Amino acid sequence: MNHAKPPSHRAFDRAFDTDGGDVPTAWSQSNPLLLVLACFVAFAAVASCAVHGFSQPGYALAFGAIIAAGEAFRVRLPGGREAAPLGAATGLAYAVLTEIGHQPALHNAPQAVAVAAFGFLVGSVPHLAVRRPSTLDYTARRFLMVALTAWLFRMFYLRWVLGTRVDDPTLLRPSPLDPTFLSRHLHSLAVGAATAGFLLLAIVSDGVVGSILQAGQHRRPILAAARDEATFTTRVGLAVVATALLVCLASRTMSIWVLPALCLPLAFTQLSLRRYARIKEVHLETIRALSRITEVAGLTQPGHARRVARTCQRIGRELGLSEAQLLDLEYASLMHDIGQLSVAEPVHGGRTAPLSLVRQRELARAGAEVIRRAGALGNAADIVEHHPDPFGAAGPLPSRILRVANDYDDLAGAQPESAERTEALRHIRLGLAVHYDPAVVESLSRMVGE
Amino acid sequence: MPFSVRCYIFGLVAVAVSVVATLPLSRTDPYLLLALCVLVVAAERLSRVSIGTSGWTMSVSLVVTLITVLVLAPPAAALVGLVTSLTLPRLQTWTWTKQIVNSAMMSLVPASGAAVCYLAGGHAPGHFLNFPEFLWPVAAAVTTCLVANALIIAGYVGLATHVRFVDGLRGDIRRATMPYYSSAVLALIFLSLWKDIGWYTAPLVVVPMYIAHWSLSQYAKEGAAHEGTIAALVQAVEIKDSYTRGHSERVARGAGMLAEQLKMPQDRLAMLRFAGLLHDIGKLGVPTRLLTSTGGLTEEEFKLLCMHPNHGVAVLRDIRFLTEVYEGVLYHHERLDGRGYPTGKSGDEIPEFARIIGVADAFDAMTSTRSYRAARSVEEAVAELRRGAGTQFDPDLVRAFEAALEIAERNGQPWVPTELAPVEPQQDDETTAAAVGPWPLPKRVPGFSFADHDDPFVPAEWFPDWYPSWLAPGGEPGQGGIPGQRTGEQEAPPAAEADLDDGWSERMYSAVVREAGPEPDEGWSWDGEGAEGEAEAEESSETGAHTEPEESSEAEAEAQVEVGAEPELEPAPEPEPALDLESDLESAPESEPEPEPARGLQGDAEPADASEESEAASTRWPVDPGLHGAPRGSMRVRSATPAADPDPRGPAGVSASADGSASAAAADFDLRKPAAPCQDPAAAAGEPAGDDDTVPMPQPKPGDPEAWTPSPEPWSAPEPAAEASKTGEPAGTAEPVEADGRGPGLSAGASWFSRGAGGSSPTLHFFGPADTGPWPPRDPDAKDSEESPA
Repeated sequence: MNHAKPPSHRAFDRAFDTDGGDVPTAWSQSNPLLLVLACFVAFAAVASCAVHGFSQPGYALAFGAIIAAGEAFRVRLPGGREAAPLGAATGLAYAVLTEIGHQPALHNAPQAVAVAAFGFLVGSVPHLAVRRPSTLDYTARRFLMVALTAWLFRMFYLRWVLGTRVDDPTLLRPSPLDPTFLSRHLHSLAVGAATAGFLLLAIVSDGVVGSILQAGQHRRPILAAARDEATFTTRVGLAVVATALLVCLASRTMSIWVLPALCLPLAFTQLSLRRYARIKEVHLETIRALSRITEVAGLTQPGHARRVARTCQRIGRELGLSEAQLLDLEYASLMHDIGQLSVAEPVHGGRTAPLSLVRQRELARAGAEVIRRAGALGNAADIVEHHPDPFGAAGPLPSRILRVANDYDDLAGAQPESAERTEALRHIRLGLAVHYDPAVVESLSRMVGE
Repeated sequence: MPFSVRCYIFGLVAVAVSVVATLPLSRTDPYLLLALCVLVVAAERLSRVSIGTSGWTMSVSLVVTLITVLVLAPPAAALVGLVTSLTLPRLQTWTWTKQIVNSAMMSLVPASGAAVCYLAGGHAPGHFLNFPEFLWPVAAAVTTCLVANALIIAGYVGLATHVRFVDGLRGDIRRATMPYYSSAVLALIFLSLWKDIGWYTAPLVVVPMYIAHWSLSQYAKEGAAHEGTIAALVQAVEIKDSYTRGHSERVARGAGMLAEQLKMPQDRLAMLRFAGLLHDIGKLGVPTRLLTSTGGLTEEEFKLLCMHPNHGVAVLRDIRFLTEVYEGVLYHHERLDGRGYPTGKSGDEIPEFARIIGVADAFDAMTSTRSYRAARSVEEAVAELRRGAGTQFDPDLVRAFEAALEIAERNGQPWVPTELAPVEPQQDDETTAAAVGPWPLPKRVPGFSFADHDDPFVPAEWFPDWYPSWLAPGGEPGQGGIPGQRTGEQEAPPAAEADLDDGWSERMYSAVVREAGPEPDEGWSWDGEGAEGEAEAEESSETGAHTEPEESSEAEAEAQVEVGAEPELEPAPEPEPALDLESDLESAPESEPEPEPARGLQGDAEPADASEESEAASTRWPVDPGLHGAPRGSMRVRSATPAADPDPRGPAGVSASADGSASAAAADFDLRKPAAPCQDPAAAAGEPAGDDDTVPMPQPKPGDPEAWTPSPEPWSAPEPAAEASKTGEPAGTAEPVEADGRGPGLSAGASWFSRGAGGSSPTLHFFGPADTGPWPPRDPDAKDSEESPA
């Protein structure tokens, strides 16, 4: 799946993409396999519904509307991830719903899937209309998760395991033996636990799919991708599972009013996530912009920090750094030349590769001091401080990546021809295992070669 | 404490006590009360996050509070609230006043909500938890709680601080809506599940709320991180100029005070504070001498100075959501009468942010210490502001600023003029870092008098930060380009790290400074002589490199005599590349007859020439257009083109500064160039012989992908120093023909935005210091003999 590029959702990142001239559309940025699968499932469900008819259309519409709203206000977190907990929770809730206001919920699996499809589609329309470059990957993943849950729960569990057919009219008549069998059974702890289990399974499967996609697209080792997905999914996925379970449980008493009731906290979460994503984006952009201070002063080459940051990101993804480490590395690579502010006259136009180790360490220490005063940049200060160290006494992996990327950019320049790239790589390889980490250099040569 | 505030608090407490006192003890279930109290306290301890910037916090305990509202009678609810408030964790800003107000509020709010719920029939057994009839009392009760909470807080804030009651009320309601309503629905579900299924499902309810709180706290943390980053970077920029350290923060504070006086909404205020912090970022792109001078600038230097807001905006332009900040930074030196820079806007055309920052900027400049004068007092500075109101400053803003200063003084946070003691250089140990700042501060150079570019009035003494190497007093060793660098002896690579270096730096150097291609009729001297010859030259000159700094200060002629190749890069006066390689090669031997034999290179003369010349060219980064025609061979001397990431100062700007840097690099590193011919006027004059007082500029060939034309003024700058030293005058007197005769302000503005769209004038100039001398430019007051560049 190497043909699928990671979605570049930032406008100025797209400026650097030399391939792909025009604005990438959402279709081109999504994984075609996922899209095809989602379309197939949606069509199958809608066809089945058309054949068998809708039941309880009012409730279906309510759920679908809230799914659409949640999808329309989804949050794009920095790092490319998307979160729409409201839509996902409502879809899952509709999939596992068994009783609404003392009445059994009569919809079957295809109907649940169809309603979810409708909701996700309608909710994506604003994003597609605005033509913001985005990806449909996450929407498709959410939809497939809901479809899987609906199928497993309604078709598999309720029908085959429990032996109940919720649209069976015989259930509406209380049987003489046990009038409230269904309700009592459905609200026992065991069923609650089973429901919770299905929901968790849905979330976990979504995480697995996500990590496979990440590993394929961005060439990350699959364990690192799985770890990142798990870190993210734990928080938001927990809220989604809890909300869906609560809807399922509370709908007996509160009937349809459970929906607006439970959507408020999730909407609240989603809004605060949006604000968080926005300020994190602004923070990152601020660091990018302020990394160009040295360029204004003529102390570094223009674009050097950005290029080094991009190179570090790609190498770091390949070498399996976690998302937090990648973020720290991005900060560090953007700010690694801040120490040059202490230099009155730039040497070699700010390229640090030819400097002696002592000088490089001084500059790095000065830069690390500035970053430390910023206070909130995490381990970026350590990464910058240790980045000139040679391989024998090297710092952590991000530092080594930064060193290689920095030296490569110093040697190669802004838009190197292939010959220059080869030459720069040759110089880098001369320092293999003495100055540079071999694994990093290997990853760099793969990156340069493409 | 003002009398009104005391009355208010007294009233609040009285009402709360009376409500609690009406608790019907006989009819209340103590266990329920106790359980709810415990729940609230537990929830409080577990999660309390701060949202927003004005100290609002929320926690999961709100859910439990609303449960008490729905379940209990008003007095009982008041009692539970009171108990809760007593167990709140105490912050550093805790005072008895705040505690009393909080307790009273947390009693009254649930009481009012419970009362409304009861009146709406929510407590009636028929309605309780019967949907949808139960929803209306719940909604009414929660809204009452929200409004009561906001009213009480806004009332206190309106009385105790200068914030208007209505503003506070509106803000509070907006901030509290979401938490209250989401807590309300969770309370509903909590109750339903408890009653319906069992108590064990109740904790499930907490999870969504907890996630919401987590995201809020992340938001707050990220906001704090953002501010911290900006503050640290601004501090790093300002560390170069010790007298303006902290200036940006003070301007941000002043602008914030002014904006509060103007009742600006909070988000705009935050943007204004950013603008204040970042307004002088661009001054790194301008020689400090220009920043601190007044009236002694030539027109070109003034144009350079006028560009510093543009540099700032160039750095900031990539951040979204900062529209007004751009305006504030770009126009903060505009004057109301239109005589400001860079664009000369006047009156109301100047955006509000810019006017505010202008006032705060000038005020802080006046109330800061300069080395010869103490900081002016606040009264004097205000008088000056008044004097400038109407011409330089907006009169409304001046009035508002005065009022803000008075209010600040009343509140116990007066504006204190900044007394900065000049940092004494550490004579004993040059190698220790200064006490303040991450890097060592440079030495003072007395005898210069300049002003501060922000100070509207009087000149002040200059504390140099960029320390030209030729100014070394007494010719101390190690006074190189890098201020405070360790002495020259330390520069020799210590034997300890010889095993690590083992020529690595030289190798890197040779890779960075690229070799030229072969002559057309010669072969490509690939790894043959080229690299090794250079490597050898490197090693042989490595030891020489470290005495470089002092050499550059001496006459270059001496350097030529030195044994073992003191090759240096020709400083900038070695003028701009000729049209093609061949002519360069021909001119190079002519202009450097002397240093040639001193090189002692083993390579061929011509590849060596090519490498010298092209090294000069290549280190005249970033672009030497047209120097090399069609690329031949694999390695081209093609410095980085700024195409992908356009340099904020434009191609001309960067190349010119690199010219300066190249010449300055000569001061520090041995670059295997022979001694500069610049003190040889004949040679310097010989270079641009073909041109009349303009810098020779290769015409870009059509279709040349690397072709670029530096934009016309104001990027243009005076003559190369070669001609300046030749004429013996300060740079800039032999003015190049300007492309157009617009005024500095207008042209600067127009050129900035139409950079690259402007046609190339025949007299194209490189930007800045390369042409005026070593970077940073020299002082015009110094004697000519002193200022002639090394």
